[in-house]
Amino acid sequence: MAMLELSKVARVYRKGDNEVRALDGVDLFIEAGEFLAIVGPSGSGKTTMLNILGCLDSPSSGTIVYDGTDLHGLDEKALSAYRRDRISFVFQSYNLIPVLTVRENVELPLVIEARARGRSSKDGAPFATKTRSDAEIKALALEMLEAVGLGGKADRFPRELSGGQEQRVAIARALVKKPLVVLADEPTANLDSRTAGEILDLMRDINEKKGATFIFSTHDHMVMERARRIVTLHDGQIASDTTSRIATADSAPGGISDTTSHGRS
Amino acid sequence: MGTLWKIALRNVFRHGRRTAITAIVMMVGIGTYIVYDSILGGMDRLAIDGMVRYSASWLKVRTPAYVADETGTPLDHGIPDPAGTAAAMRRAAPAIKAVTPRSLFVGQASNYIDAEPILCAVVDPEGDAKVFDLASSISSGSWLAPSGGPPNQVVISATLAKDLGLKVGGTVILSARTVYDTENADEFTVAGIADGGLNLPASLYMSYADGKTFLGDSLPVTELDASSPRAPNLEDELAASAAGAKAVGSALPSLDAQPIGEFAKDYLALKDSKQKGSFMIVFVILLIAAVGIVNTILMSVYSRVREIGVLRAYGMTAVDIKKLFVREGLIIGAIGSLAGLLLGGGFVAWLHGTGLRLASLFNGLDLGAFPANGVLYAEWRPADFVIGLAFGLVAAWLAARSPAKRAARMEPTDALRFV
Repeated sequence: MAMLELSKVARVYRKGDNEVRALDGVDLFIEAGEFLAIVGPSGSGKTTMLNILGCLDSPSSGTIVYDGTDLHGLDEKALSAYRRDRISFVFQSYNLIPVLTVRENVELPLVIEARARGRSSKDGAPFATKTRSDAEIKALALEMLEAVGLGGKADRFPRELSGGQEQRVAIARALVKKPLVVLADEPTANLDSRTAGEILDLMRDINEKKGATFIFSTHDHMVMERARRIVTLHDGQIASDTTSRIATADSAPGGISDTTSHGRS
Repeated sequence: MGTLWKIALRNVFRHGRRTAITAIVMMVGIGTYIVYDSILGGMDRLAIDGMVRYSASWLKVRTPAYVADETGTPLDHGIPDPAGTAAAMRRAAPAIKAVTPRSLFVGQASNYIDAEPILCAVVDPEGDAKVFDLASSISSGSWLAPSGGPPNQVVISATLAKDLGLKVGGTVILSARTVYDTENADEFTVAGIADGGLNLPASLYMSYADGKTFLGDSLPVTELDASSPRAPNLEDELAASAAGAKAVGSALPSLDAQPIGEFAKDYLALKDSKQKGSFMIVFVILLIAAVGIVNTILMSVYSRVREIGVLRAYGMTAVDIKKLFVREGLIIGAIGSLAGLLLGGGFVAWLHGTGLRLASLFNGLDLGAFPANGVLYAEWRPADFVIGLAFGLVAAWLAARSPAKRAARMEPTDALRFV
């Protein structure tokens, strides 16, 4: 069973009398540990797809099953809770919280999770689990910062970092809670090519070593070169779904020398 | 500290200028309220102090018959055994420091050309100075000499002196009905002119030695006036006086003991309306501050839309987002309110200790019922500080709710796309 299954997912926006089908009957199956890029021209539905995968938006029709959980019909609160526990994001503009230090930014998902779990414990909710202590949260954040090579910058504020360093912090923040999937929206768009390459290599490394699933929305060829699977959207539909044999074989970024069609397993 | 508080606090200080502007408006509002209310309290106190110092005294004892016919200032309802009664008053209310007799009567004063009806008081020059402050309000000449001094000396009010063109050493002709129900008239020398403003109960004062000669040997004491050490606050003063009157009334059931609060009840009735006035001031200023807080938080919301999107994407609930911005408002409110308490408290402390000399401030200006002399001390009113802080925090909380709700209602997808 796939980690993530989208079946006939459509998202329709209404603007006055006009109807825009941002996604139009998309079927997509993603396995755990994939390093996948969603590509396509502007207006093809990439952002809508990412929003739906990130539980930030709900489809107008179709079903999404995440790790065996059907998200259909969940209200905003439940989607928010699901997002909090399973999904992480890396943004084009890094979007670190400027008033928090690097370490506090990385701690943030864990703190939000702990707050929610604390509240659930108080409410006596059945799924409440043990909350992490402040010391545990701090240790996890520092460990993650070490992993992205910023152990020495823990007490700095985002304004004191370069763009590449900020994106590394954003990656650490995304991974610290060990999510089911990391959704990255144009993560290299604001970086120079050298830094972008380093960031992508870092994500590939984490993907290989920790098994974290990465899904990118991108126009960037450097991302496509490193992706093991590329889903191309056109007018809200999947135009192609290909897997790089070389990338799959040796896990090294080397471009898409050959591709295979990716179908339902 | 919780993460929400941490983010809220740091954002408040990050945007220091707009925080400072809003906090300063709140500071001025709350500080003004505290100072204004303390000065109002000080003015109340000054007015009541004037009554205690010149006319009503801290506690007044008269016969019920005299009180019933007070406007006629009769001389046939005197207090029996004034010395024994004074001793009994002291025993009943240990807070009493001194007791002095007075006998009030109506007379007519003349300078041979013009005449006017006046209220006169026969007093014990030594005892009176222990209870009242008339002796210290002599603007020219001197207070009445103790027994054994020259006869037919009087102290007159500045108003009478002005009306009849009298000066110290001049002569005033006084006529009045005696205790024998006959008319008498005599010449008196002006020994001093008192300037106690409108708080002077009588226009002319003479000693018991002269009073008995003028009105008859059996001149009764129509009232006994008591003094007590000044309490730090008006409320304490009124409460102590009421308790003293109750104790004296119980010990001397045939007499009527009246506390200062009873004489000042008309004045004190105005306090409530003045209090409403001070609430209006704080309300208007806090309304302005609330608008400032709404703007500050709205600016904060719109400058951090993407941050809101990130927090929502990472699972922070709409309620938490609302709490975050409400807390920012509360922090600004707390900073402004505490600064207001410090500003107001500092000014009140200065005015409570140093006081404001009204004579030099108003320079003879007619202020109606309010005494334009003496020293105005601000009253410490701890309740004002509690009210000021509570008003500030509640106003901030209410003001921050609307922009905070707006932040909470933002869709994460819209917030993340916001440029």
